Amino acid sequence: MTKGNGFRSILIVFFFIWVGESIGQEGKYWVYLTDKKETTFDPSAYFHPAALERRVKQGLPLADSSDYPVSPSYIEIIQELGVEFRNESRWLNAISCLGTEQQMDEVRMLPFVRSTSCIVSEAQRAQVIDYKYFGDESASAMEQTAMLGEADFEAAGLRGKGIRIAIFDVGFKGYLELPEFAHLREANAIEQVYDFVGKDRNVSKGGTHGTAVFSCIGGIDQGQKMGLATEATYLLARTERHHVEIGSEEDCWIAAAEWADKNGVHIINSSLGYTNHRYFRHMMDGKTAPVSKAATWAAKKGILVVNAVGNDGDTKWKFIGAPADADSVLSVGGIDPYNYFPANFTSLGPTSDGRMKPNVVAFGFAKCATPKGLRTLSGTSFSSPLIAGFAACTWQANQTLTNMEIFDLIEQSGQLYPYYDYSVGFGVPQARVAIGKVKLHSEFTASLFEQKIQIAVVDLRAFEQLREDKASNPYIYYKVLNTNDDIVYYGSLIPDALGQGVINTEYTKEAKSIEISFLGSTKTIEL
Amino acid sequence: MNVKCALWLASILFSNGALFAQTQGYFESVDSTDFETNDGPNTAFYQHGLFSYGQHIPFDEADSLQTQFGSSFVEYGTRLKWKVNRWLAVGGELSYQFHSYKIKQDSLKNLLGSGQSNKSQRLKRHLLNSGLYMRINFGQRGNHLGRYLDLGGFGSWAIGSRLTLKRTDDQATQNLASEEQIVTFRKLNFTAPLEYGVHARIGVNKVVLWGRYRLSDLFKQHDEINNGNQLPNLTTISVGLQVVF
Repeated sequence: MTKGNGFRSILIVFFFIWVGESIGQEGKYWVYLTDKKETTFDPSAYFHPAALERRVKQGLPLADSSDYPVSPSYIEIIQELGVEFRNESRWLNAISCLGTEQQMDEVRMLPFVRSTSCIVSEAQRAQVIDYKYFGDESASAMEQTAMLGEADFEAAGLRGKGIRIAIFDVGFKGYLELPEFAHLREANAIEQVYDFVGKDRNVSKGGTHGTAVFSCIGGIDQGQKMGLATEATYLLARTERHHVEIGSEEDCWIAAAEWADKNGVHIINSSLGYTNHRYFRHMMDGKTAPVSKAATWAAKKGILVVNAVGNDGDTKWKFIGAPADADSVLSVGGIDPYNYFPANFTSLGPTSDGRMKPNVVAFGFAKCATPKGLRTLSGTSFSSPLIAGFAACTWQANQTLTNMEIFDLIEQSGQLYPYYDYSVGFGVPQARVAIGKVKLHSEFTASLFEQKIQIAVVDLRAFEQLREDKASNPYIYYKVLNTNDDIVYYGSLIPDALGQGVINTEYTKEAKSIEISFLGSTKTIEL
Repeated sequence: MNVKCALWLASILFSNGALFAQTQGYFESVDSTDFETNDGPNTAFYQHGLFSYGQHIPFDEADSLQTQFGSSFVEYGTRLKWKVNRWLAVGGELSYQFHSYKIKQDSLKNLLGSGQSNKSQRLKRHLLNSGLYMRINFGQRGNHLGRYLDLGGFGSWAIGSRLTLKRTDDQATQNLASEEQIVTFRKLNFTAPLEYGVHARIGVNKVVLWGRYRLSDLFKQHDEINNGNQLPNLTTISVGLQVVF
C-alpha cells in the first residue's frame, strides 16, 4: 500500500464509521416505570440480617415499595420491542437499556412507562476522581488520621467495629496480598466482593485506585493506622472502568448501592464522580443525575453515603460533581496537609441550587497502599475514605443514632462549625467532639474600624495551645453575606504571631454582614 | 485595664501598622451565574482550538501542471460555535494554514523553468484563513460536540509563498562540483494573494474528517510566466483529518 493509498483508506474508514454511527444510532436510556405490578417481596429472604438490623435500629420499615423488584413482565414487554436490557433499579423503578430512537418511541407509548431519559454514552475517559503520585510517604501525609483525632478514638477503643462499609471504585488490585490489609484478611473482615462491570466476584483487577482508597479507611502500615476503621467489615464493589466511559458506570453505581443495602452496610464510600461531558453544571442540583437520586435513596434506607467532591477546583468545571451534589450525601473536600488550606484541586460548592457543599474536609494528600508500595497520592478520592473511617468510629460510639444523625454529628464536629464556606465546609471533623467531648476553642475580639475588621485573640496562651493541636486550625476564616444571606465571597487569613489579623471590607458591595471563625469560635459583624 | 481591654486596644493600634504580618490563605468570590454554563461543547457558545492535516488530491488537472501525492496541508487555529437549536449551529474559524504542492516533473510543466528537468518542484504557501459554517447535529450528545456535518465557505490571504526547485543536471550544479542544486524563489508575483472556496466536514466529537474545494485560481496571469498566458490550476480539492481541542 502506498502512502497516498493509506491516507485515503483512513479517510474512507472514518467516513463509513461516521455514517454507520449516525444512521440507526443506538442510545443508552433509562426507562422509568409507573408501578411494580405482580411483584412480591420477602424482606427476610432478600436482606442480609445486618440490613434488617440497620432498619430496625433506625426505626425504618423492613421493606417498602421501593424495595420490591422491577416488574419482570414489564421488562419482558420492553425487551420484546427489540431493546437490549442492561440493568434494573428497584429504588428508581427503572431499567437501563440500549435501543434506537425509533424503539424508544415505541417504549414511550407503553402504558406502564412513566418517562425515559438518555444516558450520554460518548467514548471518553471515566470520571474517576483521579490522583497524582507525589513520591514516597511524607511526614505530613502520615498525619492524615492524627488530624482527625485518631488518639481520641483510640483512647475510647473506637476502630469501627461492627460497622459495615462498602467501597465503590474502579478496582482493588493487590488487596488480597498487600500487608496493609493483613489484619482485615486475618479477621475475615472483607466479607463480600462483586464486580458490577464484569459481573463476577473478582475485584482484584481494573486498577489500584480502589486499593489506595481502601487503605485510607482501614489500612495499617507497620502498626501505624492509614485509616481509622481498622476493625470494620468491608464489602468491595467494582463499579467503574478507569480509562473508558461507556455510559454504564452510573448503572453499576446504582446496582452496587442496592447490593450494599441488601447486604446491610452502614456506610458507602465512593471516590467517584460524574461531571463534565456527561452533565452540565446547572444539573448539579442533587436531583438530576440518576446516581445522585440513588445516593439519596441509599440515605433513605439508613446508609451514610460518603462521597468525594471531585478534583475540578482548578479546572473549567470548578464545582462539585454527582453524586456529591445530593443533599443527603456527606461530600468531602480536600485540604493541603502542608498549610491546611483547601487543596487547589478540590471542587467547590455550592450546588447549582445554592446548597452548601462540601460538608467537611480531610487531607487531600494521603499515604496510600498500592501494589507498588506505599505512596503519597493526592485527590479528594483519599479525603473521602479518611472521613468514611471517621464516620465508622463515630457510629460505633453512637450506635443508637440514625445515619442522618451521624451525618449531622460529623458536620457539628467540624473544627469551624457552625461556620462554613464553599471550599472547606465545616472544616476537619474532630474525634473529641464526635465522641461527646468539648471542642477546643478560645475567644477572640472583632471590631469594625474604618472599613477594616480587626481581629485579635483574647487569650494568647490558649492561642498557642491551639496552634500546637493538630486537630485545631488557628486561621481566621471569613465570609461576606449579602442582604439575602448569600455568600458574596469568602476566604482565610493566617494571623500574625500575636494572633491578630485584619479583614479589609473596603471593596465589599451589597454586603450586609461578615461572619468570622477563629479558634473554634464564630462571630457575625453587621457592616 | 484588664488584659482583654489591653489586647483590644493593641489590636486597633497595630491594625494599620507594619507590625502586622498576616498572610492571605485563600479567597474565593461566589457568582451564582457560574452555573449557567453558556460556554461548552453543547451550550450556547463554544470556542476551541483545531489542528488539521490533509493532502491536496490530484483531480481534474491540466497535463502541464499536476500535483503529486505528498502535497500536504497543515492548519492550526480556533473555531467558534453558536448553538441555534438542538440540531443546528453556526460558527466561524480563524487559522493559519501551510500548503505545500509537490508538482509533477516532466517536459510539459510550465511553472517556472519550463523544459528543464528538475528533480522536484514545490510551491509552498502560508495563509491566514477565515471561514464560516453551518452545523447540522445528529443524535443525543450530552455536553459533547457529538456527531455533526458542517457546510461552509472560506477565504484566505496569502502572507507568504515560495517556489523551490531541486535540480540535478544543471550546468551551474556541475560548475560548483555538486550533485544537487536547490533554488528558491520568494515573493512570487504570479500567485494569487487571496483564495476562497467551500468546505464540508463530518465530525465525531474531537475528530473531524474534512474536505475543501477551492473556487479561486491559485495563479494569476504574468508576462514572464507561461508566455504571458494564464497558468493552469493545481488541484482544487483537499481532504484531511482534524483534531479539535
